[in-house]
Amino acid sequence: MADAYSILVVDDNRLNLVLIEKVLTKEGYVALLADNGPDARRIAAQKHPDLILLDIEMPGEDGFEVIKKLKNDAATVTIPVLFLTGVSEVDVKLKGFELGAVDYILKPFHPQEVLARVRIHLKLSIATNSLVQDQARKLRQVSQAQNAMLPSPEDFPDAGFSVFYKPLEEAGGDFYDILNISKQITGYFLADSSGHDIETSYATASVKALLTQNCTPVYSPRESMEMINDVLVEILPAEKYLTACYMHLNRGTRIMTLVNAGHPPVVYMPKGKKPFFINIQGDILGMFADATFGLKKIAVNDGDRFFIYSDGLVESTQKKISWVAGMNGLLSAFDGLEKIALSEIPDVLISRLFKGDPIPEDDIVLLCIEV
Amino acid sequence: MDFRNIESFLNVDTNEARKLGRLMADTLVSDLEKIRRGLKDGDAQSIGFAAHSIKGASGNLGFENLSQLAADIEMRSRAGRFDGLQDLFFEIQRLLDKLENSLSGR
Repeated sequence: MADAYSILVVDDNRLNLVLIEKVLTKEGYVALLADNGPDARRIAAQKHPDLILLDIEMPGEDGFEVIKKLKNDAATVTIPVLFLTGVSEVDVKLKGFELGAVDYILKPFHPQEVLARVRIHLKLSIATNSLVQDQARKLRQVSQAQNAMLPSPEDFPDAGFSVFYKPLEEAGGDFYDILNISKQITGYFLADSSGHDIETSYATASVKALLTQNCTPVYSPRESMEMINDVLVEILPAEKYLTACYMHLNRGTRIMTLVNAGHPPVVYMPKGKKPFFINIQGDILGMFADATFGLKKIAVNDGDRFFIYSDGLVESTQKKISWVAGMNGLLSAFDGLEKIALSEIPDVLISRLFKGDPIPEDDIVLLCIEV
Repeated sequence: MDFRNIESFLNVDTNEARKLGRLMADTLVSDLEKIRRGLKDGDAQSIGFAAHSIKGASGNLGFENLSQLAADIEMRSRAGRFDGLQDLFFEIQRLLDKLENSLSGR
């Protein structure tokens, strides 16, 4: 037997409470009763009824105040509220709707009308909840698919990298990929897409496919990014874009080529030396057909390390720190990292930067690479 | 005003109609007392609240005459008018007596 739906009835008139209680219980509903606003709010928060019938004209805290407080409380905001009113003026009804009521019942009411309205709003509520749960399930699937697309160091033992990845929401906007371009050449790509919605996750899936198609030994790193940009300009919605960084490491020639598309600067830590930023300018990806990207080539040595990251690592909206300002303190977090194994560096850096705070304000990706 | 009217209006049995009628009478006594005090103190707001309560509750049980009298009181008191309120009050008092008579089988 399914659980009975519970209805909270709020009215200062005892007779109205008893009358509605009789009607509801006869039809198998559980009636919760309150004859004043504060009691109604307490019961709503504790019992979380499926629906509330709320009288507007009550001494003390009236129905408008009650609904305002119910809609400001996370525990009760989703409960549909129907208000009971003896006043038929449009202003009163509109005020109720503005405050979040889903419908009203004019007093005096007939019990059958109360039942009919309760039924229809329970059905609507069930349908809405079902939609919400369905969307959440789909987002979880997107999240699982996104995670499945992100390579782990175990999948690429010769790529010499470690990573920290934490999306803010199910459909994250940050994304990275590792590309085996040839036996000696590895590509490291990190992008931050505008938005955190399902559309964004489709964009990241598209970029992953484009990387595989265009990051080959035939094309230079800059050419690869330009071709990916040309396609993204065509397929992304007008307001969507990505900032990205593509690092092309040839372990045979020991040349590292870096392409920047509006992304925070990479940190370079030559073996045994202090870390510094590689500052190169470049347009964002997916917005301009004639975009130009910053490029830098560096001769590297064994043990040199590179750190590519998304702005979530250094930016804080809550603390009003832009990523430009946040970078000022970033390099100090690298002190002594040369003595730490590559696999442990992401966790060490994250704990130094966030000081134990586990909740990011934005997606975070940190890619650590060793030559 | 007869409690048996509730039977047909709400489609309930005599026993249930009697219980609702009893509750109506008790509530009405309490609300009339509030109106009486309001009239004495010149408190239009209290009169309005009590009349509003009578209007809704009696209408819900199908006592249209009572509901209309209460609506008149509510309308006048909300407009700050005290003229005629005393007569309306006595009119409701008489309907309450009739309800009490029907409940006690007289």
